[in-house]
Amino acid sequence: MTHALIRSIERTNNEELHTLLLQVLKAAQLQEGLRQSIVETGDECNLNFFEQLLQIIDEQNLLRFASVRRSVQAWAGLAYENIEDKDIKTIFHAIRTFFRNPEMREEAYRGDNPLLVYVALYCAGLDDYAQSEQAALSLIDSQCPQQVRVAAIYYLNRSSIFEGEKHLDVLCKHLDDKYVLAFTTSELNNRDNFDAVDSGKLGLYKGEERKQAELLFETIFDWHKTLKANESLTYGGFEWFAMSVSNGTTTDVLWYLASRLGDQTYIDRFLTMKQSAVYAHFMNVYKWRADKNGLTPLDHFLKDFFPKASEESKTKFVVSHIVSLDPDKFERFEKVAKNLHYTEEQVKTIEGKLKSKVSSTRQRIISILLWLPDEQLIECYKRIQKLKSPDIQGSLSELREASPALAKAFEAPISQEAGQSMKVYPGEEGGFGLYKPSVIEMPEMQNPFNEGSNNALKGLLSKLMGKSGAPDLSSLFAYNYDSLIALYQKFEALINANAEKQYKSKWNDEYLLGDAYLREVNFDSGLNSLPFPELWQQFFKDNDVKDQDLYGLHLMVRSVGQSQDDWISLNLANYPLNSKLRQLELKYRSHFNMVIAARFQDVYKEHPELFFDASYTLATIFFFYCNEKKVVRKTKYSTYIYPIPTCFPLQHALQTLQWAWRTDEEFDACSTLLLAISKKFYLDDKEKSRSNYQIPPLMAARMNLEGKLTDDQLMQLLMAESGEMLDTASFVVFYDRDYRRKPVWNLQPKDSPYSEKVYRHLRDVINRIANHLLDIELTRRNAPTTATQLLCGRYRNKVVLWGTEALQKAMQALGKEHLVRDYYAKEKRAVLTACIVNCYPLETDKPEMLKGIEPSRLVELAFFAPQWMELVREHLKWKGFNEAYYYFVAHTKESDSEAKRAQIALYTDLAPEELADGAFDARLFNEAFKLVGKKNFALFYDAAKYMGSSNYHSRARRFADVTQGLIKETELYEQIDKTRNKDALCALGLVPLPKSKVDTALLKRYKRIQAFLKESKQFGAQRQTSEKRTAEIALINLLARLDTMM
Amino acid sequence: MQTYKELVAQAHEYLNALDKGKLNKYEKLFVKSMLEDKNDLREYSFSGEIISQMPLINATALVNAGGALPNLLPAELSEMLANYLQELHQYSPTRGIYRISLRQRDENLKTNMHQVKEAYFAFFVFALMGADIDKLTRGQYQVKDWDWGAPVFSHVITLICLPTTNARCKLPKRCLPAKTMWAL
Repeated sequence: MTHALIRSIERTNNEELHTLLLQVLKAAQLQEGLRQSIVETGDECNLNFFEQLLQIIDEQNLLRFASVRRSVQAWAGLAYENIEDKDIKTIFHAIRTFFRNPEMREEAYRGDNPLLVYVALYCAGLDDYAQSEQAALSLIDSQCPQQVRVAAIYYLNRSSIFEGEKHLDVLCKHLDDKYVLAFTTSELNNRDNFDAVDSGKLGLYKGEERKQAELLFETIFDWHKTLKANESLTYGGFEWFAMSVSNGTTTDVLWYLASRLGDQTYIDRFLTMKQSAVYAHFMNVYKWRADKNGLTPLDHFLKDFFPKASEESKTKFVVSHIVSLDPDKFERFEKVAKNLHYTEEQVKTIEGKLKSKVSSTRQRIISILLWLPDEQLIECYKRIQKLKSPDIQGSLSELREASPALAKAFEAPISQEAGQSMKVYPGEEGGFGLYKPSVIEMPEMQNPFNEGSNNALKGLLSKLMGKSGAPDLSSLFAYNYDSLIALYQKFEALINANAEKQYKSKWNDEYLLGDAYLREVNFDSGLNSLPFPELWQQFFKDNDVKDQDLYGLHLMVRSVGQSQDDWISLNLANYPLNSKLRQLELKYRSHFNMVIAARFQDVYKEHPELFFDASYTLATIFFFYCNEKKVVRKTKYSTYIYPIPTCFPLQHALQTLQWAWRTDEEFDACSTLLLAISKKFYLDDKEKSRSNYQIPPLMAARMNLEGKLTDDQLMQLLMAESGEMLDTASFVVFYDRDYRRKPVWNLQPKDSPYSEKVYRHLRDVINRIANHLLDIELTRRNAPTTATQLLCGRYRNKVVLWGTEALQKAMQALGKEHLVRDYYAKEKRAVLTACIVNCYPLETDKPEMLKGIEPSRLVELAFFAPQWMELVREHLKWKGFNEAYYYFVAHTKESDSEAKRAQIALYTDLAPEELADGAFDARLFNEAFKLVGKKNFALFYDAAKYMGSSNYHSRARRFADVTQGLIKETELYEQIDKTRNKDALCALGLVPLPKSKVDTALLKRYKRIQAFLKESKQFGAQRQTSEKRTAEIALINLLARLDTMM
Repeated sequence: MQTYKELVAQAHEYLNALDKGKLNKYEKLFVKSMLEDKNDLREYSFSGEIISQMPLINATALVNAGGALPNLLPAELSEMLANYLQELHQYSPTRGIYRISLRQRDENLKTNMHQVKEAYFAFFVFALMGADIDKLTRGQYQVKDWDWGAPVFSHVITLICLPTTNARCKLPKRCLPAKTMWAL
């Protein structure tokens, strides 16, 4: 019985079907879902049905069911959080009463119970919305008690039909009531109307409407000044009422009113008021908000609204808001803002922002200053020369280089910071000043399907030739469509025979083998990751599935029922991966696919060479027979373009092939083919949705060693496509886990076909690139350099730096600035921080090589990039460095690796689980504080924030503060009472005890902990468990305090 | 089971085969909108912008202006749609609990524009699928890979539940669970 059918029956006047449906409701004793489907939509369409439904609910006491109680609230549009059952009963019976007796609604309106007023209005609305709207508006317009007016407002607010702007005559009379004002503002905040203003469909206000709009503008304008960013309006006597108004809403509404009032006065007042313009409607540049002509709200604002303002207001708006705009918004604004005349005061305000620590802000300021006429710019330049701020010389250089007038009037800045005579590096087009770009030629490939071909590949590829000259694919696909079906039928019979077998998935859920999908049982790979591996092994044995046939079989099974778009087909006889196979429906496709894939994985892991011929054959076929360069998928809003080598099955063949070769001859053939494929299917289109295929970096490195690629060509390949291949190369060469990157030749996979020489060569090349990129970035002033994109922080960095020399360079460039915690950006400090975090010490580095870096900066480094911790410690030679460092590391909430836990265990007796839950090691703290001293401890305290991206360090800081008496006991009690702060509870035991009445103080804390435990009973089971654990830890901490006294 | 792609292809084949000269001006706009994207078939092709241009004063005016899609749908379905539009102004479905919709007594269909849109799409897809009401009421019209935006078929089913179309009433009755029949 579908939901559509239930709704349909409820809608109609078919008595017979109504009776049947209500019988279903009565009979659905144990079917909460069905009951909910019937009841929740009961009020929607047919009042006769609704009346019968109410009667049944009453007679059968169906309110005892949660689904029915929820439905009652849903009908009336009342929120269902924190509502008591008695209120629901009240609402239900009120609905019954007012529904059957319309005359009683009037009585409710005259009363003072807002809930009854609301329900009466709702019942009137069920009958006839217009009637209820009139009643609600009359209540708002009357002298009724405030709670009744609030209920009427709330009713209209919940109704989707009410159009506030049509009733401004009533609403405007009561703007002194903040609830009416908030409601009116919320009604005017209508995106459809905003769009209509943009497109010119809504014109200027006239007559009476204009007077109301003027009054509204004045009232909302005044209210806007006092409004917080987000404010929630509630009403004590009618708890359901909740309305959120932000100063963003009032900004939008004031823009709307000013647009429709059209006078310069209103536009000026709007532009010069304090506002969060960045998030306003008129600043929107999303394409989906654009009109038919492709104009976005911001385009309309700049075309129709902004020009009406006075020059003074325009410049004031620009000065206040343009600096923080996104680049695309800035570009649009620039076209109109650059021609305005800015006063000296305004220019001073702008140039003052050059003191900002953020390079992108300084870069934006320089762009703005360059709009100024020469005379004004020269004056401004003189003032900037006296400005004290980091990188000011760099900013001066940038200004001077961009303005001929400044270049003529001033000598180049002379200090190093000015960036004077710094080398300018080209981008990718000039090889970043590192290599000479050239065209990498397509390697010569002989078509093995031509009879005349006679080259070294011929022997290898001769098996591709059938007698007729058509490719013979039998070595690749040992199975055809029919034999695959035959094999599957045996597989299905096997599943059917074992369908009732039960197993647990790796997420500990129980399943039957006969379920629609097969689940993995652990995090292994291959057949051992699946349930009942012996069953599948026997299947392969019984059906004589040969290992070398698995590749083609795997591809065929993967294609069954596939609907993905990045799937390419070939129009070749005997090529089975076609649409017929894709459309095939198999009952146990998931099982079949997973079992064959797992077996393939097992064999590929042990004997990749078995699949060399098959994957080579498949890749060759695509090279010679696929003449498309891309797969294009269009949707209503987007077009996706995938290069052919990234699509199935060629992508699979290339991945298999790159690790399947074993002999020199195979490497030769394989590398030539992969390079040819990367050339043939290369897409210039920058809009493509995936990067082009690149040959594996280790393969390119060996080709370079063998002279098939020049040094320049290798670097060019690595740096192309925004360093995609460099990213892969760094990942392949450097082991990346637990803050420790080690040269991979110590950890080189046993089955890697590449020699240590190749790994070492690739490492040397990417190290050279990394150091060069850092050198480029060091020339940066404010604007990004050609290397910024490659160096900036990301989840897996493209570039790894090595040694104290690189570290020193980056630290020096950072100057007095601190490391930036959020370093995933192109801002100068963030990029330098990324370089520092991704810099690792060399084995030859000595502690003294850190000389010159501030101790505070070194402590930050030890937390942010723990690979430097040992060297920092040895360099600083502070007593108690380890204790202080591990005090903070141990008292964080973060889960740690085994190695880190082992290290922490050297300094504390507490178990990692206890520490994670909030236990405090007083001995470790006292030792650290005593040994390292108050001054240096403060450095650790400040730098601890670099341990993680969140506030994990705050607990360690709080414990330190409490122990030192910097946080008082009363503050902790307040936090526990107000927010049930767990860290505060754990910290209770840490507060220094008074000299007298120790027992009383201890008893007070003990009682508060016990009270906390008792209070937790009001919450759910999960929270109770969590709070119980916190209370346990708090008691342990309290006990530890006692121990220190004894 | 039909896949979404197959259904889209079928829709385009059907639309391309239509005699465009016979379509009324609204139908032409709907067809144009549906043919714009060969990989997609969505409710928004029956654009609210086009519907808002139609005479929504009442159902009769709408049907007289070609609002029952007489040339886009098979004759019988167009007739059913016309009947349904006559009923539509009485319905006032609740859309979630954020804002409640309430009953409007006038016959103006402007406030029911969204439902008109839904109904158009539901009747069109129903026609494409074979217009078998028995299958529809039993929930047997399933489309594989139709991730989102499936039609609201209650518009079609409502029509056959109406007492005025009593002859077809047997079908939904048969779909009610046997337990209920027993309870009766």
